[in-house]
Amino acid sequence: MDICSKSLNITAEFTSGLQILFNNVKKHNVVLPETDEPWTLGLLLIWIKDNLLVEKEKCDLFLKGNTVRPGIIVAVNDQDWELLGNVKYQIKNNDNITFISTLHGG
Amino acid sequence: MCSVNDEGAESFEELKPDEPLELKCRKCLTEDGNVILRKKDVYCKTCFIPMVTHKFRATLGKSKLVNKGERVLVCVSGSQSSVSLLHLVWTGLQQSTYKRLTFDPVIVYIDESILFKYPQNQQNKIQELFEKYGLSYHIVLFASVLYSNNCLIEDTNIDQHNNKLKNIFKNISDLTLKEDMLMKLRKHAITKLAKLLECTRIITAENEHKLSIRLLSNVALGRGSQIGLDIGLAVNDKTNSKKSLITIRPLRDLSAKEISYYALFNKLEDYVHSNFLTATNEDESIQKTTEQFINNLQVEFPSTVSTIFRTGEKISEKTSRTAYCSMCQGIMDIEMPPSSAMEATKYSKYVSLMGLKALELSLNNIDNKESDLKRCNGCYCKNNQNSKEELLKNLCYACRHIIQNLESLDDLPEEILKKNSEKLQFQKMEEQIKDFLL
Repeated sequence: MDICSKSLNITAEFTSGLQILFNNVKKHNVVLPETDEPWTLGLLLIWIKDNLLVEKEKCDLFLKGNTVRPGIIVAVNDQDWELLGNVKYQIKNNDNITFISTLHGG
Repeated sequence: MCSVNDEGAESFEELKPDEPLELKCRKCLTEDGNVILRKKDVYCKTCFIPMVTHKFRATLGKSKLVNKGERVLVCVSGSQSSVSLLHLVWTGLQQSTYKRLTFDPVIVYIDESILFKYPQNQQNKIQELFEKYGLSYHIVLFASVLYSNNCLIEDTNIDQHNNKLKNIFKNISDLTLKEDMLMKLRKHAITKLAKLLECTRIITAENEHKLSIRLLSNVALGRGSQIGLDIGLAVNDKTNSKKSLITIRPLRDLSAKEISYYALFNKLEDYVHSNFLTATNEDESIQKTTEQFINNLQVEFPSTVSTIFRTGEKISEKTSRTAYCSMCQGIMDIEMPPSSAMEATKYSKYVSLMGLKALELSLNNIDNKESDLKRCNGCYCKNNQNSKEELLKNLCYACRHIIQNLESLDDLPEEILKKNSEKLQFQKMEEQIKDFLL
């Protein structure tokens, strides 16, 4: 059995000001390690907080509770996450997940 | 007629989160949906983009705001809204004859890198973007627009001007006022550019969301009388006597989400555009607190923004005699009833300054006494103090707060001071001939 098939390759994009929390890099190619539980968007958010977020002390500009801060839009492969079950959505291989801030000034 | 049900009140439309959402696009009914608006309306990509474009064109087309061949200043800051605006305008220009936009756009980008830290190659990237669209464009430095008269060609004193600009914001310690000042200076810069580039219309990219935040924070800042100017679709700059200059906000009927998805579907790159509130805490400024308030409500009640917005639209000015603030060109409350909020604030400030003595004097004396008080404090710089006093007289309540923080008025753009001294002269003259007027 190939281990790689269980880990997921995804792209996470942060636009419209959110990139300042991620070292001004918009596009991140990420490999999610294999876990017992399936990867959901909710888990991904916490993973991003622990692994991608550069400005840790400004975490509350990105997350609030276990979801994103109000005003941040999440899209998976150009599809609204509200249509996919929000944090419950199960991430598939090669998903392109976009986080867009609608808050002025990031 | 209002429909009233048995309980005597109109019941709100209830959201049922458990109910599975209709996944097909509500328009074409065949494609799978990509976006969900207002928590219930699902659109697919192919139906969504024309819908946004249509809303933009409908707003712009309303009452024929822009004439054929007119020069229009399109303000692009690099933010997602403004990048989308640029794309919408450009698409409009490519349309077949009967749908084509017929005005002559001039794109302008104001570089504020002196105030904020931007990625180094940002300006080049913006230039590349503008080149790609092939429209005529200008990239100017914020400080040189404010202080120099030939900012479009070359600014020889750029260091000096940059320092002036930095000085202004260094003296203002309060984040709320800093942001407010930035907004006013940006507006000033844009108006000046429009005049320089001989444009008669200005298009800016504020969306419904941003405008409703501005509406509520304006009220909190004491700019209630200026709401119409700050959020209206078409605002005529009446202070400019020679030619009317109209600011148009064609994205004001689009929500932030609609803009975000428009940019996403069209793969539009956006750039960092900061202000003083970027990455600050919510409780540090009025504007940010308002934003948080609205956003949190919006999550539960998707009609929050539009309700605020539509209500704000109905507010209009009713004063017959209007005066304009020298700095923000906003309407000033001059004819106030004796017990207005502004008088009350003035009185409360006066009492806290003077203590018991205040009780001996009546409200009417406040103005005189207050200025006396200040003059005594600043004997050594009497002239400076005087000119500040004079400027303050012609400012609106909110701008007064900002200016009071400044050490010297020299850092302000020349035009503001000039306009003010003109106004003062006019007032003096009016005073002199007042007895001869019928």
